[in-house]
Amino acid sequence: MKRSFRLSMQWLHTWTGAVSGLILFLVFFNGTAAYFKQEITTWMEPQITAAIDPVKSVVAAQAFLTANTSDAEAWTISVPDARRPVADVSWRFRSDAQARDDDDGRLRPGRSVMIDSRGYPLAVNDTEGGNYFFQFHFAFHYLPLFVGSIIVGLASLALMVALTTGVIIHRRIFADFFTFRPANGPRSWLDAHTTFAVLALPFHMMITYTGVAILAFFFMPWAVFANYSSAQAFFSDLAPRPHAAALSGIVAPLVPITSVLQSAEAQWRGGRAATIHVTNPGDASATIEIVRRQSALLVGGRGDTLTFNGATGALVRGPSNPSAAAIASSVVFSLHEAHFANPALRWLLFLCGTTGTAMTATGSILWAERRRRKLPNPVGGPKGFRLLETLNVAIIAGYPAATAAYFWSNRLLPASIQGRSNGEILCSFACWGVFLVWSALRPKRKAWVEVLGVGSFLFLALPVANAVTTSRGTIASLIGGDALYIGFDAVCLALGLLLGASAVWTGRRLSSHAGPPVDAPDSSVSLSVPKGSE
Amino acid sequence: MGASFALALFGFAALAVAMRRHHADLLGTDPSRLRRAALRAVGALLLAASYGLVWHAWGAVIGTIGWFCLATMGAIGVVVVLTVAGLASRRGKSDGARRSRSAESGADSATTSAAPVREAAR
Repeated sequence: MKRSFRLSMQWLHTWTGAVSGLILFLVFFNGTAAYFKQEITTWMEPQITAAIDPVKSVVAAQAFLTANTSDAEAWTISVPDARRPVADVSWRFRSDAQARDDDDGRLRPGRSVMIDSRGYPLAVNDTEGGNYFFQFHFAFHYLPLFVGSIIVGLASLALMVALTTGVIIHRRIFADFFTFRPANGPRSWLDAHTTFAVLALPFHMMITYTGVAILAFFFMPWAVFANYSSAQAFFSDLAPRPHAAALSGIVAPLVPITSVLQSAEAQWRGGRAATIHVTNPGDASATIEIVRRQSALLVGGRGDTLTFNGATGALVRGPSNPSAAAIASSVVFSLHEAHFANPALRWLLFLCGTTGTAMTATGSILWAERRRRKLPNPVGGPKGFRLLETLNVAIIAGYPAATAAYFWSNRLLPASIQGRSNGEILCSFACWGVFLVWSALRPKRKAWVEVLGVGSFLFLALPVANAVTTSRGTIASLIGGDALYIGFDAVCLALGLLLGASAVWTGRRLSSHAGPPVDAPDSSVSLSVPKGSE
Repeated sequence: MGASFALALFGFAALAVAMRRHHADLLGTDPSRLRRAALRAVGALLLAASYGLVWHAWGAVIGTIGWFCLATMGAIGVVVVLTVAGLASRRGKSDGARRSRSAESGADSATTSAAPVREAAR
């Protein structure tokens, strides 16, 4: 009974993992990059240089908006901080009210600019930046949001199952806690897979659970249908945007936003503002809403918003008392998105994300390796198996290389071309397509070496390309203490070395390959090897 | 943060050395029962201290999130060190590696052979 339970869990683990593994690799890879969404965007806009003073930039933003868009219905100013050293400013005209904005609140081009500290719009590259990774990690960029979210949601559910069953079938979870046995065929892949899974299990559980919970409305929309007439009404309740009141028609100049900002920050006792929403600027009915930046607080966001009268500067609405459900939802989103994270914690979460990427990659490779052993002829194999191997190469080796191509195209595409941000993404996908075709046509082990090699080269040479095309090369940023550029170059170097080492290691196995390596007689495919435990 | 990571790393290292297999791999001997208990206690204390430090620095909520990440990285660090040390010692002992490994697993199963039975009975 016990044995068959374990075996059925093993079966479940294998198949949930096999079906969702490569999808989850992409989700983890992009989600991990999305921890540095803002930083990546700033890197992809190299015209943004030194950090600017938040107060000065808000003054400048107000001056710019008053001069250019005084008849707008609403303004949004994001206050610069260390992660995003520039004030992003956007506005909405009254005639836009019907035309819906993008889902993630971005306005169409021409309705948003970046403001430098002198109040002039910055001329920067048109780029999707780090938002590409964020968007890809739940909707695969070219898929409609709904379809992508359903796929990612189902894959995340499969991951929940795989994590749970993985713990059940891993009998030696404590005995093998620190065990990695290299150069041992599928046993080594299994060790690597369990190491990345078990040691980072709290992170995996947290990120998967919160991910599923965030996408829950795509699976269980009935509560929404029962209570709201339209999806739009629900979303505006979920993430309330400042609602412009009816115009009073009385002209009243807006108070300096900085004075309101100061009184808000004084009320928060050291808390900082993240975003400023202004409605009906120049009218007596104007409001200024200041949203607090999450720092040491997990819960915050919605409850920590102060609203002021735009004409007098008086506090209109203090922090609201969110309901328990709103707090719970806020915690789930916060845990997943980590807006609260300080730089050290952000790096830690990024590293934990890489363990998830490694867990899904090693799991997919392990599955293929085991299936290979069951084949009568280990070279070639049936169509299905070849497809699996092709996808493994094209995604696990090919996608990181395509990411490098994305960054390359950011540096190489001329600034003037139309639709440049889409061009960058197109370059990345084109490269990915080439890798896919290449790995379908080449012998698989050679394809591994070649695609990994290309990825390694692209990442290792990226700092060089950056140094040539911008004035912010590695040496200059080391001298100037430019943490963003140093960090980006360091990650490129690490990824390049990792991919390169994998290519060399695969190549060495290829050259010394004389039939599959002899394996231990315990067939080593079963996790539940009955052996003495610690 | 750095100190807390170091504590987590040493804490997991102590827990690893408290296990027969890693003790044998690193030090070449089978640890006594007392020694294993002591190493475990030290490991647990170091991990608790590591948690305490992050808690103190980042507060209860963020500190707890951060500590799980730190602890994960510490444990992965121990796996890397053990793997490198294992490779080095195996290279040093050349063909003796296979023999010692089989002897060790024999000792392992001899002392704890009752464990799977007990587990199955539960």
